[in-house]
Amino acid sequence: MIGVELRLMLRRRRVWLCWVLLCALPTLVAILLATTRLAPPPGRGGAFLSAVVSNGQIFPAAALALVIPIFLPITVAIVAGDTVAGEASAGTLRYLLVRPVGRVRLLWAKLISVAAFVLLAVLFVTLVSYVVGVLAFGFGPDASIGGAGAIPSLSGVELTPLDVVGRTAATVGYLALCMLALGAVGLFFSTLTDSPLAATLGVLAFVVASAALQPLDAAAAIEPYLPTSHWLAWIDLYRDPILWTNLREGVLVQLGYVVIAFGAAWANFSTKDVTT
Amino acid sequence: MIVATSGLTKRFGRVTAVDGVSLQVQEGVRFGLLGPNGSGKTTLVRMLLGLVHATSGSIEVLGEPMPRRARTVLPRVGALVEGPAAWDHLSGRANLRLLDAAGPGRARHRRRRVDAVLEQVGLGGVDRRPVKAYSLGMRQRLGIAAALLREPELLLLDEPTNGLDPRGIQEMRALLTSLNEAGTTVVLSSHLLTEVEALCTHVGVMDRGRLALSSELGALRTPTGRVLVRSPEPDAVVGLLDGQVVDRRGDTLTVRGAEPAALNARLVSGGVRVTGLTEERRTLEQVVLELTGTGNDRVDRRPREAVVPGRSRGAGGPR
Amino acid sequence: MTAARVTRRWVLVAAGTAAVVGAAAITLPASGSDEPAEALRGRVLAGSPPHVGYAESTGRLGLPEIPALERVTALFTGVTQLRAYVAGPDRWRVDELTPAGERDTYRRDGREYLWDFGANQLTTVTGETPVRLPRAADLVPSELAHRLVGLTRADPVTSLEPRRVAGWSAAGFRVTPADPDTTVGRIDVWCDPASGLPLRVEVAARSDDRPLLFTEFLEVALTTPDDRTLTPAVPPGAGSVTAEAADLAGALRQLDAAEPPARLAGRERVPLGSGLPGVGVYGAGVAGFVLVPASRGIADRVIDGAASAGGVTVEVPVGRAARLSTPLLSVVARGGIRRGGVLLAGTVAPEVLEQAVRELPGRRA
Repeated sequence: MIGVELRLMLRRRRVWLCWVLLCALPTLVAILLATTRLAPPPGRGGAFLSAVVSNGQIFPAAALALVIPIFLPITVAIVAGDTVAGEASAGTLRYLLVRPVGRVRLLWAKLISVAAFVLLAVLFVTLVSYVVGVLAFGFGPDASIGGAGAIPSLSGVELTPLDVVGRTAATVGYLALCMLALGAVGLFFSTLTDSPLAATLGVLAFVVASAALQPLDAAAAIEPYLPTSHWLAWIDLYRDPILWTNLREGVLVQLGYVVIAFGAAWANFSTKDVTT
Repeated sequence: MIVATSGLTKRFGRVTAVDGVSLQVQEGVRFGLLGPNGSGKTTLVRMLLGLVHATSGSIEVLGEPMPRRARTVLPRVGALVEGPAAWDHLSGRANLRLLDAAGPGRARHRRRRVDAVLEQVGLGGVDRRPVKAYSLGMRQRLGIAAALLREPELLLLDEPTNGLDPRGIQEMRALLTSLNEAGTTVVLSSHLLTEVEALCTHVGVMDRGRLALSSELGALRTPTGRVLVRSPEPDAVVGLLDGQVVDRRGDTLTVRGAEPAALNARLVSGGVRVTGLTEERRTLEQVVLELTGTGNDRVDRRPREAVVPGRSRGAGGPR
Repeated sequence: MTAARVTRRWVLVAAGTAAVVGAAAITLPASGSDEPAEALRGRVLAGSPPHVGYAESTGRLGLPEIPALERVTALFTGVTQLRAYVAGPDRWRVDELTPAGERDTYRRDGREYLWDFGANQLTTVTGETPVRLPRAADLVPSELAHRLVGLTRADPVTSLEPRRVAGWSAAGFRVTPADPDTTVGRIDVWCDPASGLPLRVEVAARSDDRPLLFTEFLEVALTTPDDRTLTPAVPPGAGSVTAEAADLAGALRQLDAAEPPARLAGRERVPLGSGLPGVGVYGAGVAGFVLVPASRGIADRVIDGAASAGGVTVEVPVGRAARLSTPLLSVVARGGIRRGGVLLAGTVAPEVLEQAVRELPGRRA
């Protein structure tokens, strides 16, 4: 079933459109920055945008910071909201269930396909923006050892290429987990309704509500448990030494969301009457 | 019994969709489930397949309880529920392959299995067009093909001839009959009497959630005790059988209280030429209309809301 | 039957949710320590052992933005994330973490280095100043506790309930400043009773019981940071400059400023070394204040901004002045006269600063 789900996802035009759009936004920003050379001053505008102009290799970090707050959650909401509700509204859900595909197995396969979608989304953005960044801004100053393309950490220490690959992989994994938590919530919403649009809007409302509560002093007690609170913790991977505190907390909270949302999806879907 | 339910009831909120249905379907029959729209046919079929959970009552399919043993029962059942559905962006062949891969069973011979069912439903030469470009009839054929995958012992088909042209209906009838002869039990639901009458050996009638009748088709069509006589000289017949003729339409007369052979002898001996003489049987339509009320797609006014002439104009008032 | 199954599943999910949330929210009770408060204060005064940790400091002073001093006011009005690597009093590094960068302060071999990722530049600082602007590194709990407890050596101290900080059982003590003129109502410090490492500091005003400034370690270990961590690096392409400590004082730096009066508002001037002409520190402990000459532009902007930030006008013999008071910190600015702009700030009652600004001579000589 997992194989079927993955094949179904990879053959959906909407999924590819999401990926293309995700990569298009950073590309557009890179083109504008490269032609105008008008980088925002340090501390203003998008994260890392000021540093990008002198070193294109940092662009993946800037690109991720660009797509994380809104763009990436929207695509996750679209894909996750569609998982069960989309099959229900198309009528294919009943044929899958009588094939038979166990309901838990179906949910599990859907979660895996959402995970694959977000992982590929983050990976594509990273790879495309690296290429775009280097093309638009060059490799940056030479490394002190080993020639072209030094990448500094936020603390000023130069990172070795191996280090950069490791930290980038950790970033991709961490962001994929954050988005998977959102995807799991979308999967749950998707079992509540037969309308994919309603589930998608539900996920977006969830994100907006979380982002609205986050800066409130009155909500300080629940702030660590909000899904959006930890979305920027990946930046700590580029400090030297790496600051694990927020990352660890983020991983635990996001895993908590995955487990609880998947549990709720299971509780609701296992005995749901499929009437479409 | 290949399908057996007892006291099966399903309530959606305050609406009772299926009400105390005890249905028995024997192995090897072609069972037709008739009833007006909204009579609970589809909900009953969904419950048999474990898609909808019963409020009370029990279900056995292929001798095992449902939905508890869905994992072992459903692979032996092929189903078409409330019209076909497919992933629109894929071709029909890709749809069937994915559906086959989604269920239990091995991947071996998948290609051959898919080609075989496509051939069976007359889509053997289908190309790589996505399903969204298919006509209604093609989709219907594809839905039936999906039900036939993995050679089911029981076919549960909801409105199987929807969207098919007369030739397609003919083909489908032949296909289902031949599958039935090879040992597959066929249960189909329809609101088309002629469809069921032409194909089924057994028939059940649903009305407002209840199973109003379940019987062999032949047993339903009992003689009415009247005989239809066709004659080029209808007046002579009326004269001869004074008082026994209850109806006369052109050259066809309905005669009551007579045994066909004796009637024939009497007419011939009376010198009346007879071109046809048959025993009148009840039609399925008569049976169904006797048993059922109106479907839920017809909404009548309640008596006290009945239209009062003049009042619909409003402001005028009584003059 | 179906209904029962539905509820059973939901009960299971609800129980799982409660377990997950509970596991996250659970805090172990802190065990007590029978160490007397006076002994704990002695430990803190004696200095901290080497440690590495991550701390968050929250200021709720409600200060308006003061031009050219935004970075300082931000420390007292928002959340500052800090990382501290402390090997000793003269060998440490503190990082101020920002959403997309960091500003690191290194101290080693008697020198300070500042790395700013946004500016892509390492600044080597030479020389020392007796007075400087507050900076993020001052808010690390160990540093802040040491400084505040040092200023209130003579004040009475009492014990507090122990509490759990960064997974440690911390013993607490409270210092209540006795000076009637200070705004500081209490200074609460929780420290590891064994090593004396301060883990959490709270400062509250007399008028308000809620802490207006608190800082605590969220994670800390008693390990000595390695040398590589304490060595500032200049990545390829980054700038490297040298600056004198006095140059960094920014707003404090007024080359043509006059000698400050020897006595203001009944407080003696504390003798300072050279380097910052015109700057005077008056009074002792937490009841002191500082006099800083300001350019006319800055002084005027503070006075104009004060009105919108809830400040009040102060009558002065020459020029014009305004007072900004928060429960903890009072600021008075005088401007409107050529070469006579000053800023007065301190944790004293605003009346003290008002009196001081009235006693100031009209213009610098």
